[in-house]
Amino acid sequence: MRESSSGLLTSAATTLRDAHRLLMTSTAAQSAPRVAANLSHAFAGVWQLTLRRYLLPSRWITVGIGIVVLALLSLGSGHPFDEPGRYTGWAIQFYITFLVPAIAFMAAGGALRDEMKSGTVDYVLTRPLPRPAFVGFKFLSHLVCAQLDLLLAFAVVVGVGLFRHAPGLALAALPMLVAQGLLVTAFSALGFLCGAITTRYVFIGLGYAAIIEAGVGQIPTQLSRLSMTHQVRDLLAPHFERAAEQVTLLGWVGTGAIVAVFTVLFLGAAAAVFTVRELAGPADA
Amino acid sequence: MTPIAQAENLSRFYGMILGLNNVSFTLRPGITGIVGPNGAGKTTLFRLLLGQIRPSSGELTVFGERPWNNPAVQARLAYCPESEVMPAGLRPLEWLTGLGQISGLSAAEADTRARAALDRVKLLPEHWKKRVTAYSKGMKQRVKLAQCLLHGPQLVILDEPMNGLDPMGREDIANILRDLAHDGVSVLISSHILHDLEALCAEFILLRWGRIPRSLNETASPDARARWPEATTFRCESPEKLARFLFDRDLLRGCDIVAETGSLHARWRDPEKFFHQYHQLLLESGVRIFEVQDTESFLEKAIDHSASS
Repeated sequence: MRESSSGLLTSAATTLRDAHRLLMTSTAAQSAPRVAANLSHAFAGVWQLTLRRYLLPSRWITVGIGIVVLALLSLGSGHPFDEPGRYTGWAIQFYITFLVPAIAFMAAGGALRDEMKSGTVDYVLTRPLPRPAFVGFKFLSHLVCAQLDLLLAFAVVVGVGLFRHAPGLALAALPMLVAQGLLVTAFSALGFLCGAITTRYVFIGLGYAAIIEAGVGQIPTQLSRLSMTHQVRDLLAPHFERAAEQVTLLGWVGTGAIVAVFTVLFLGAAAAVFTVRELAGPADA
Repeated sequence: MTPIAQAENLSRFYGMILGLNNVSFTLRPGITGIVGPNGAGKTTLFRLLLGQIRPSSGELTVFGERPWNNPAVQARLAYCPESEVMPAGLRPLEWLTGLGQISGLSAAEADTRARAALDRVKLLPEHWKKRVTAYSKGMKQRVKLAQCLLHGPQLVILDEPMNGLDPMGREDIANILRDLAHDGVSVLISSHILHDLEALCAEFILLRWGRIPRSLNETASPDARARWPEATTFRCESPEKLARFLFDRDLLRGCDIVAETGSLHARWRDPEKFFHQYHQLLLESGVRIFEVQDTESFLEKAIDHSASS
């Protein structure tokens, strides 16, 4: 009985082996790896997995709740909304320079931490992909998703403003959109850096916000250029501060370049930290 | 035979916490079992081999290179973790294709291999439309194993892959692992199901408290395993009669009779003497025998021996 069942199992195993020779042929004979890191394929893989998560229905419920809250906030803010610059000022000072950086930072920190959780890390980061490349690919994939999410939020803020006929908002919409794009990029990179450093990345973010954005950024010297929100607020000031001077195209390019430098620095630091950090704690021992 | 991995005085500490303490071993091609109680250092050893953590001291090479953060080594490895945490919302084919691409495969090749891998682990196509987080424990184990097969690794490291599987499922997994070994893929597997490991593995690494005790590994060495068992269990018609018969011939050092199951646990004075006349003695006894088996597996024996010493 035992012999016959073992014979059946052996023959089943042989059939299976033949059918799937594709998977393992020549593995034995080769001393070199069967696959080598291919960065374009790897980027496609990281993008695909990130996009799948982005499209999760449960995630969209959270986004939907956030959008409703933002719409309610927009409806209740900027009174009296017929005063020029009132609603636009709220949209720039609260939404663009506070809410957008905060959301971008936390989403990015969370996205990187998710990749370092037990269970995820074992499947993705045991593959032949250099870690700096992984951080770069993950950042690009996450950034596209974050920009899309915040584009939706932007549409709500501007849509509510236009519905309420907020003066000057139509003219400010395009500069605000560009400013949002810059801030999402820079603060996502900062989120990646803090996420790579610690699970308590929110505390580092709060420290950064208190020291750089709320502290150094308010000092009326060149040091304030360290604050990215301060720079963006300067660019948008003509749309809500009557005394502000118009900003030239060069001003926009300059600010864009500084934000790009910050992004590269933060992302480079995130990649460096992520590369040297070990991916297991005593709990796994 | 070129070793797959080699460790010399390898240690890993997490601050004051011991992970691995001064272990040396050679991992040869084939299926190697790694056995030890929880906290023995198995996962630490796996993470060191995978290059996710660095040794605190000592030397570790995998395929002749240091594994820490080394994509060239990772290209030849695959890992099936014990954790059942899987990415939310993904269907197995989507997940495996993404992972295959990250491993360096094109989208089309990753898709082909993902399908072949899912077939190979016998996950039926009607389940491919479900999300992996909705899978049963056994189905998750199969998908986890499938993701190991995507990029044609030369060493597959499996942490408790038999958990949650029924006997048929365990046999399926064991057959897949035997096939892999037949195709030249080395396998390092940990499991608490010792009988499965014994049936599957050619070699063993026994860990305890972060060390590889020599006595423990000698007990489980191929030499020791070739020896006759020290104790044997007979399920038979009349355990008392069989015990008397064996005592009369001075073969037993001692025995226990379990009347409820009709079993005799015999401890041999000289196992070789009994097993050389095994058939003849049992026929002479006149007792109907239903089942004969080693009372204790050699891995259990090795672990018990270590615990008692």
